[in-house]
Amino acid sequence: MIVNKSMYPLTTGFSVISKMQDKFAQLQMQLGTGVKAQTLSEMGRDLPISLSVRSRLTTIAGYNASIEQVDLRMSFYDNALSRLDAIEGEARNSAIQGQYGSNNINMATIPGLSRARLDEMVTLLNSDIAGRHLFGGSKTDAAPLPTTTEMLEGAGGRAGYKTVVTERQMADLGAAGQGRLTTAINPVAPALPTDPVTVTLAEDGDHPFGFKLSTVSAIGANIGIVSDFAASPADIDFTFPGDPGTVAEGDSITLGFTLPDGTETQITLKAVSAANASGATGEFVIGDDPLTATITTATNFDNALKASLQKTAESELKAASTYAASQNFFNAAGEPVLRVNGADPYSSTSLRIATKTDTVMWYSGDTAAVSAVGMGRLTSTRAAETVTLTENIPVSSAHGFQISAVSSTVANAGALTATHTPGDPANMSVVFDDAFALTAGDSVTVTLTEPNGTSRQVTLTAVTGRAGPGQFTIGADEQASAENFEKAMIRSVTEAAAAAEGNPRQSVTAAVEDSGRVAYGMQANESGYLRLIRTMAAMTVETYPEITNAADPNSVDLNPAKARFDAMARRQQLELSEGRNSERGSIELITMELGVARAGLKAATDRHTNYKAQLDNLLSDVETVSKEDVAMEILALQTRLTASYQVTSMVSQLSLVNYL
Amino acid sequence: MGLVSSLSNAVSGLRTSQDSISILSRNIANSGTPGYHRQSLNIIDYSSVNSTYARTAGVNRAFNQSLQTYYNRQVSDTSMSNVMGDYLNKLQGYLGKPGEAGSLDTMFGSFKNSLQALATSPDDYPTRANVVAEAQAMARQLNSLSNSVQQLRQETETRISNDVSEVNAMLISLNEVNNRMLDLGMTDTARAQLYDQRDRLVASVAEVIDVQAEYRADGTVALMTRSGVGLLDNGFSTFKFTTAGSLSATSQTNIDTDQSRVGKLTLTTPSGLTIDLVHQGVLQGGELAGLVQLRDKILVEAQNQLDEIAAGIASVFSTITTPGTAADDGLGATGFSADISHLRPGNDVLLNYTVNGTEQRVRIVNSANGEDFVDASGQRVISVDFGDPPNATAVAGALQAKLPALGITSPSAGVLRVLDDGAAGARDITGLTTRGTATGTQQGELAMALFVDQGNSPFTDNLDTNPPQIVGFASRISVNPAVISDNRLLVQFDIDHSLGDAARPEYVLEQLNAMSFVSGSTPAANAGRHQLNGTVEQLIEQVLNYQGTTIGSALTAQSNRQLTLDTITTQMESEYGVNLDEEMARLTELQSAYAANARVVSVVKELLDTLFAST
Repeated sequence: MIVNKSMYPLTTGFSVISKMQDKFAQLQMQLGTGVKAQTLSEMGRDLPISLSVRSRLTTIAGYNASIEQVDLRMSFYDNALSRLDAIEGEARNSAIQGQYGSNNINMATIPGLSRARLDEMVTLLNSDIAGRHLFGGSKTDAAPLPTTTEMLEGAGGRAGYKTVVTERQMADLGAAGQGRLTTAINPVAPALPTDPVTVTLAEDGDHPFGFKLSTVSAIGANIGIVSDFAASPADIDFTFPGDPGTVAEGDSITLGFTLPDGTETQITLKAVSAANASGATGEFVIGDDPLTATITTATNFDNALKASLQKTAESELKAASTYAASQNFFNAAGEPVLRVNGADPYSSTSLRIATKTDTVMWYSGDTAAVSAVGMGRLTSTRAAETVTLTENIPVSSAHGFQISAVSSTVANAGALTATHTPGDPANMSVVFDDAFALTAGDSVTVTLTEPNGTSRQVTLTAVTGRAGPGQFTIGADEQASAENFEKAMIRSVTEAAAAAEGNPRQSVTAAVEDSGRVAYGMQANESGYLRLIRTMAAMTVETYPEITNAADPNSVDLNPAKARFDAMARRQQLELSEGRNSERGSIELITMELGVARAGLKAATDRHTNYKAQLDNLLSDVETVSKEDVAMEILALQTRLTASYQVTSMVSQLSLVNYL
Repeated sequence: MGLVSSLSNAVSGLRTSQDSISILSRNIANSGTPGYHRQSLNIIDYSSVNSTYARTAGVNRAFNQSLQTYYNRQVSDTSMSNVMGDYLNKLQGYLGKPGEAGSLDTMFGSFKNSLQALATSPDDYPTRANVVAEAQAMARQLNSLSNSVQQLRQETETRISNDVSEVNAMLISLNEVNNRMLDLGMTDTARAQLYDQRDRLVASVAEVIDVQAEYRADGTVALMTRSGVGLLDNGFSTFKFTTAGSLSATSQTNIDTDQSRVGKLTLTTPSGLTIDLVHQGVLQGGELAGLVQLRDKILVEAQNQLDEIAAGIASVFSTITTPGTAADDGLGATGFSADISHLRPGNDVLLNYTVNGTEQRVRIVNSANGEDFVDASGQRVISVDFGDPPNATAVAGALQAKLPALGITSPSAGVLRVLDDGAAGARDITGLTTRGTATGTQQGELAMALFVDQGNSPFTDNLDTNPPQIVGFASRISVNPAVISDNRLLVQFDIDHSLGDAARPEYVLEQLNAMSFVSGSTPAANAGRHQLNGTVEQLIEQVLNYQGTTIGSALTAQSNRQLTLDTITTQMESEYGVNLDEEMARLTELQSAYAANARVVSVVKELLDTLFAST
C-alpha cells in the first residue's frame, strides 16, 4: 500500500536498508546463475544484441545439424562408389579374350561370377540410410531397382531381361540363323556356260536387326561387285564371270558388317582350287568343269557365304545382340525401354516401347526425361539442300523432345521454307532455295516440347559473317547454307537438350549456409552405373552350354562358343574401360564431384564453428557477469549494510527517554 | 495586582501546563499512528483588569497545505506506476527471457531448425514428427501467452471493482467528516482528530483516483479530479463499475458504448449527472487510471503483437505467392497480368512500379473497409472489395480510379492486368504478385494450411468481419488436425507424391525469410502504437524488444516514483511527525514549569494564610 495505514510506518532510513538487502539478494542470484539479468526487463539495452545473437546461434545450430546429416550420407556414397569401382576392376580382369582357363573353366564360371557382381551392384544401388534410398534422385522413399531375380527373370507376367535378350537374339539372327541376310543366285541354271552368274547378298528388310552391310572389298578383279549400301535394305551383287573368265585361286572377298550394338565385324571368303581345299568355313572351291564352272563357283561361294554368316552369327552377332538387348532393357536417362515388336521375333521389323505392364522397369527413381546425348531423341539428316530433324522411332511421349511447331521469317519469301509434319514420328524440314536470296536476319524457330509440358524454342538466325551460337552462316549456294544450318541446328538442339536434362547432382540439395547449398543427388541410371549394370547383366545371361559336356575341351566344335566368349569379353573390356572415365556420369567423375561437395561441406562447417565461437564470446560479454566484479560489489554492499545496521542501532538507543 | 492576581496567574499557568502535558501525552501516544499530525498548544498571555495570565487559545495542528497537495499528487502518481509495474512484472514473467525455454524467440528458432532438418530429410518420420511437435508447441505457447494477457485484463477489472467499492466507502466517510467539521461546537482536540481522519481519507482516495483537494478555512475539504470532475463538495459522487464478465481478446473498448465490450466505469455526481470515466478521459492518476490503461491500451497492444506474430506464422505456411505473367497491349505498354479469381477476403495483390526510377509499392487488399493509406514500411495500402467470387472488372475499375496513371483493366474473367504508360512514359511496372491462401494440405500447391483458426477454418487475415479475423488469433491458433494425424502432409503436396521431394519445406523456408509483415491497419487506428515491420523472426524480436524496454521503463518509473514519495514522506514526517526527543525535552520543561507554578500557588497560599492568620 502506498498510504501506510499500519502503526509505526517504516522510516526512509529503514526502507533504504531493505533496498540494500534486495540488492544483496540480487547480487547473490547473479553470482549463482552467472547472468546479469534474471528477467526480460532487467536486460535493458542489451536486449537487442542478445536477441539477434541468439537467433544467429540457433540458425547456425540448424545448419550444423543439416551438415551432419549430409556428411553421413556422403560417407555412405563414398563407400558405395569405392566398392563399385572395385567391382568394375574385378570384372574387367575376369574375362579376357583368349583366356579360357584350364578345361575352359573361365567360360563355365563367368556367368555365375557376373551374377554375383550384379547382385552386389543391385544391393548397393538399393541401399538406404534409415529408410532413405540414396540412388533414386529425389525419390528417396522407394528402392530404385527391383531385385536381381525380378530384373532377370521377370515377375507377375512382366518380361525380364532374359526374355528381352531371347527376343532380340531371335530378331537379330533370323529364322535361318544368318543375321537377317538372304542370298540368292541368279540365274539358278544358266543357259550357256558363258553366262555370268550373280550371287546377291541382301538385308531382308528395313529394320534395325541383324547384320547391316557396310563395306566390301576384294583381292583380285575377277568377281564383279556392285554394292548399294545407301538403300535400305542394302544389297551387294557378286557377279561370277562366264566361261572363259574364271575366278583365280587366291581371290578373296572381305565383307564388313555393322552389328546391332554398334560394333563391326567382317568375314572373308577365299577362292581355292579343289586340290587345295582344306574344308575351312570361309573357302569356296572354284569349279573346274568349264561347262558348269560358273554356276559351281557361284554355288560354292553361296554356300561358303551362308556358312560364314552362320558361324559369325553364332559368335559375334549373338554377343552383339545380347549387348544391344541390355541397351534396350537398361535404358539410359531420356531413352525409353525398347522391345522387339511383333508376335514372331524372327521376322520382326521394328522395336516398340515397352510398358510398365508388360516389362519389368529396371529403374523407377528420379530421372531426366530428355538427354543431351542423342539430342533428346532427335536425328538430323541432310539431303542436298533439305535439312530434316526427325524424332527417333519408336516415338515415346515420356522421353525426349517432341517437335511441336516450326516457324520462319524470311525477307525474301521462298529463300527457305520450313515445314512441320506432325505424326508418329513427327519431323521438321527446312528447304533452301537459291532462286531467292537469303538475307541476314532470316530465322527459323523450332518449338520442342519436353515430356513434362514445358516447351523450348530453338531459334537459328542467318548471318553473313562468322556464326555464333544460334546462328548459321549464309553459304555460297543452297547446299552450303543447308550444311551450315544443319551444324548450327545440331549444336543448338543439343544445348536445349542439355538445359532440359539438368544435372542429377541437383536432384537433392541441402542448405548448409544462408546462401550456400550442397548438391549431392545420385541417380542409378547415370552412365557409370549404367554401363556396369548393362555389362554384368549381359555376362550373366550369356552362357556357353557347348562346353559343359564336351569330351575334349580343345575340340574344334567348341570354337563358336569360344569365339562368342571372346566377343563378350572384348565388349566387356570396351564398356568398362578406364578410357570412359572422363565421360559425364562415370563413377570416377561422380566420385570427384562428391569430393568437391564434401570439401564445400567441410569449409561450411569450419566457417560455422568460427562464427559460433565469436558469437558465443559476444553473448557472454553481454549477458554474463564477471564473478570477480560481483564479488567486489557484494563486499562493498556488505560493508555499507553492516555500517547502516550499526548506525541504525546506535541511533535507536539515543533517545532522551533513556536518560530521564 | 496583589496576591489574588498572582494566584490566578499561577493557576492559569498550572492549567496551561496541564493542557500542554495532555497534548504532549497525546503526541507521544500517537507518535506511531499513521497520519497523525503533531499538535501543539497555543498559549497567549491575556490581559484582564487585574492580571496578565496565560491562556490557551486553541490547539495548533501541524499542517502544510502545499506539502499536503504535493503529497496527494505524488500518491496518485506512485499508485498508478505501482499497479502498472506489478502487472507488467507478471507479464514479463510469462514472456520469459531470450534464450529461456519458453521464450518466443527460442521456440521460433527451434521451429525453424526443425523445418531446416525437414528440408534435408523429408522422408524421415522422426524429423516430420518433430516439425509437428514444434508447431504444436509454438501454437500452444501463443495460446497460453494470449490467455495470460487476457487473464491479466480480467484481474484488472476485478481490481477496479474492488477499488470502486473502497473509494465509495471512503467518499461517504469523508462526507460525514465534512459534515462533522461544520459543527463549530467541537473541542479543539476533537477537531484535530477529525482533521487527521480527513487527511487520511483524502490520501486513500488519492491512491485510487487522482484528486485535487481544496482545504477550506472551516476545515472541510472539496475533492475534484485533476481533470475537473467534482468528487466531493456538498455531496459525494458515487462510482459505479459494471464488469463485462470474462474478457477475451475481442472484448475491447470502443467510443461507441454499444460496441464497447469491456466493463463500464461511471461516476454519478450528486446532481445526478453520470460521466463515463474512461470514454471522457477523466482519469489521470491513481490506481484506476493505471488499471484502465493496462486493460485498454498496454495489454491490448501486447495481445495485438501476439496476434501479429501468430498471423505471420500462419501466413508464411499458407500463402500461395504467384508472380504475374508478362503482358502487353501490343501498343507499347507493358506490364503484368495476374489471376485474382482465387483470392478471398483478406488476401492481397502486391503491385510494384517505378516512377522515374523510384520504386512505388502498392498493396491491394481484398476488403470492404475502403481504406487507402500508407503503412509503416512506406507501402501504399488500398482496400478494394473483390466480391465473392472475385469480379475482376469491378476491381480493375476501382483500382483505375485510385491509380489513374497506370492502365488497369480486366482482359478476361478473373484476370487483372496492369500496364504502364507506354515505352516513353515515366512509369514501369516491375511486379504484380498475388498472395492467396491455401485452404487444405494437398491441393497441388506448395503452400499448406498448417496453422488454422478455430473450427479448422483457414486464416486469411479477413478485415471485414467484426472484429477482424486477426484480433485474438493468437488465442485461437492451432495446428491442422489432418497434419497431426498424418505428418506426411508436410512433404506431400500432391496425392502419392514422393516423400523425398523437399519442395514444400524449401518453399516454406523461403517464405519465412522473404515474407514481411506490417502491423496494424490505418494510422488512425494505430496512433501511439508501436509499429511492427519485418519478417516473422524480426516481428518476434521487435515484440520482445518493445516489451522488454516498456516493462523495464515501467518498473524504473515505479521505483523512481516510490523514491520521490519516500522523500515527501520523510519531509512530512519532519513537519508533522512527533519527535520523541523534543517532546521529552518539552516534558521536562513543563514538569519544572508545573512545579514552579505549584510552588507559586503554595507560596501564595502560605502568604494568604499568613495574612489571614494575622488578622
